[in-house]
Amino acid sequence: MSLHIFINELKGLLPKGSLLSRVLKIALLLVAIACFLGLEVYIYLALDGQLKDFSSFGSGDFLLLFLFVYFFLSVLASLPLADRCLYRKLDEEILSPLPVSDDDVILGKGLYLYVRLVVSTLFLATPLLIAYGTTSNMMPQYYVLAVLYPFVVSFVAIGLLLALLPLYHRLARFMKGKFLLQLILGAGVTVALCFLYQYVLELFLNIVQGSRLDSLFSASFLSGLHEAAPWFIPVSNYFALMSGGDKVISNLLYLLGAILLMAFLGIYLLTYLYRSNKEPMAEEKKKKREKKAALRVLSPFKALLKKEFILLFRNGSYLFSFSSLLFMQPFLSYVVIASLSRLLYSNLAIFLKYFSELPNGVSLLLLLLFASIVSSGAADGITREEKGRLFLKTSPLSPFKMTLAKLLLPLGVSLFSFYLSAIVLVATGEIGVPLFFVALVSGTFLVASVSSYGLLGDLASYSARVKGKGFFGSLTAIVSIAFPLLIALVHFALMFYSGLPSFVIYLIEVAFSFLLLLPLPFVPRRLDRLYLEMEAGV
Amino acid sequence: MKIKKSLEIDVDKIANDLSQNAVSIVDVHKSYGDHEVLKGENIEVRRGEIFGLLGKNGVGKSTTIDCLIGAKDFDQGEIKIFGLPIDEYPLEVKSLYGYVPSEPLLYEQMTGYEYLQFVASAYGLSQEAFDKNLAFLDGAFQLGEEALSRPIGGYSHGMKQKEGLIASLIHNPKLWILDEPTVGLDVMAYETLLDMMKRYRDNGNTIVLTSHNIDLIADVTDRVAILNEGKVATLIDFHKEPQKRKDLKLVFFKVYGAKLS
Repeated sequence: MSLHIFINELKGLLPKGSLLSRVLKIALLLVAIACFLGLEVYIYLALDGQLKDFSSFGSGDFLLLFLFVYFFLSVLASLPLADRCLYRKLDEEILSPLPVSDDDVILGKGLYLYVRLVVSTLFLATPLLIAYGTTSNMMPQYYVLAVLYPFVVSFVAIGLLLALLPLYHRLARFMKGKFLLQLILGAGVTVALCFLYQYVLELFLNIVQGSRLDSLFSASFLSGLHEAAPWFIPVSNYFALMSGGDKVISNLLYLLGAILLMAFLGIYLLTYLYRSNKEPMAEEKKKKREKKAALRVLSPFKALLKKEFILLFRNGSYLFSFSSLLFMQPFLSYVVIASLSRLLYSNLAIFLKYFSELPNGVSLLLLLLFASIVSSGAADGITREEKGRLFLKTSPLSPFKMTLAKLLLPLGVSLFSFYLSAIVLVATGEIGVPLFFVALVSGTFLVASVSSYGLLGDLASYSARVKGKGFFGSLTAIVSIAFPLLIALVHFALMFYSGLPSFVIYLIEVAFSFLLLLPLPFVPRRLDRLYLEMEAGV
Repeated sequence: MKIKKSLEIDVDKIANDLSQNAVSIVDVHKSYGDHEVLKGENIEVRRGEIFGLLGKNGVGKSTTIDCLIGAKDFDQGEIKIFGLPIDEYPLEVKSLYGYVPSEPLLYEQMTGYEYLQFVASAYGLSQEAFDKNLAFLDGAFQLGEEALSRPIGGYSHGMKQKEGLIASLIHNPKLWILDEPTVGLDVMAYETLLDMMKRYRDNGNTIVLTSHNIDLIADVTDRVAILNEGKVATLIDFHKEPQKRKDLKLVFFKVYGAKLS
């Protein structure tokens, strides 16, 4: 039975659609993986060369640190997937009446999670280990063990993952319904990721520029890392075995100990807590009572706005695709634009003497792209309704009113976040005042277009008479990426070839933004039709 | 299809116009791709009656309801509610009925109270009417303050069904459309629903009810249509043929050419 469960989970990974589309998807995936591996090995080799010059301990300690951090990150990143996989409600409903034990379920799904960990480690860690081997002239057995690395280390990882899962599941349950807490946590994680991104970007820029790494790593950090490296269990033990170190027995014992301890802890804890975790928690029944006195009947439009707020900000799936990004957009825009400007000014200083508008064009492009990505995160207002979509069809409210409420809230907060980003950039001197105004106009039109056309496209996807997301769906996909690129292209082309004064070019860019409004007259008619054609039901 | 934009019509006056049937379905066709589910369906539901729709799986009961409430577009024919064509006056028509789907379709992120508040606001109910209706309906279905204060996502199927029942009646509609409403309800809630349906009808309102539960249909309905192959195969008026309440199961099996063991 465990094998059936395992195979069933694996089937879920296979691409869907016609044979041709499946082949294309697999081919695209392979190309993406190949590109990723190429970039990964290139960065590593570039770093390896610099680290060997910079640190007397070579790049081995850094590699160990990376593998150790990746080991924990892969476990933490797999927790939501493991939670969805092991506590999936549909599975529970299907499997609970069948003679299938919890052990079978845990074994089958645990095996699936193990395979996923192995595959991800195989793509991320093994190429680095092989690259390290080639630069350090390792013996042949090193490479064999490097290929086996994901299989061995993932044993410890799966144990740790299963051991942490009950805790994560309870935490996730506790967080369910605590929307403010979710938002704070989401924003916190996004901030941390932004800092990490900034750090990695700086490292990358140093590599590209061929700068030394003194500013990033101190001597005490290097010696501390060297001393700590042997304690990166189980990564360091396996690495020592691969490299043919002298403490073979002790490293082997450490490794086996880690595997057994984690396997025991993981399987024991999860099996022990699996059943009780599936039962509703007692705390859930003790929810704070809402005062009935606060139940005021609102105007229909206010009620619709309130509903949209609840659907958008009390829905965990929007946490990282929209809500947190709203908070982080100003910070992220600043970090990326400031870093790239630095890169341009330090590497293309002479070129910029002739084409001084290049950094401005890049800043405008990035600012618009960020705004477009954030706003498109909430443009699926009809899908967001989930089961409540039937209400849209049966309520006595006009489609226009319902769409307006669906549009206003995400549009308002997206614009607010975008304006804040632009203000941060102009206040810190990253963009000039004229570009700030161009960004405001273009960005406003772009966000408004992505939000409204995206909503219509989403609406079209529920019509029995429209294939896919229809004209407006395609338009959103094109506008969200093509418009920022078009503006950047116009900017570069005119700056390089026209010889026009900057303010004229800015005006032309603003004029181009009005193109986004061209489909607007067709919206009300299309909206009525799509609402009529939208099918909802059980 | 043309929508009348004007909201000048008096919905209350239309709902009280006794010359019109509550529901009129005339020659309605509906297909899903190449598969035609409704093949010229004709149904008239009179005012003040409980009208039952019976049929085995896949004969078009739910599609009929979906077309009636406007959740699904139909290919041909006409549907009127209290004399108003639903495709010309969709908003006016929607304010006249309350609907309970076979599977509760609610906003699961909202609490029970928030959902009811939202529905009442959408229907433009006065505060006084909302408070009064909520107190009455919550008293009848016994969902309770504790449950209503929790997010709907945490409700059991039966609780969601009760929430859906309360929401469907909160605006005091003239027509109550129920699609398999008893699934998941406990015995007490089931009896309450039966009692509520009868009281609702006795107050001059109309109910359209679909169910697989033949005993329920035989117990509460005034007339029943048995559907087969996308049309009404048999129409029974229990006031004219009262003995058929007992024999409804036999009639049902006969329609599909099966024998009751």
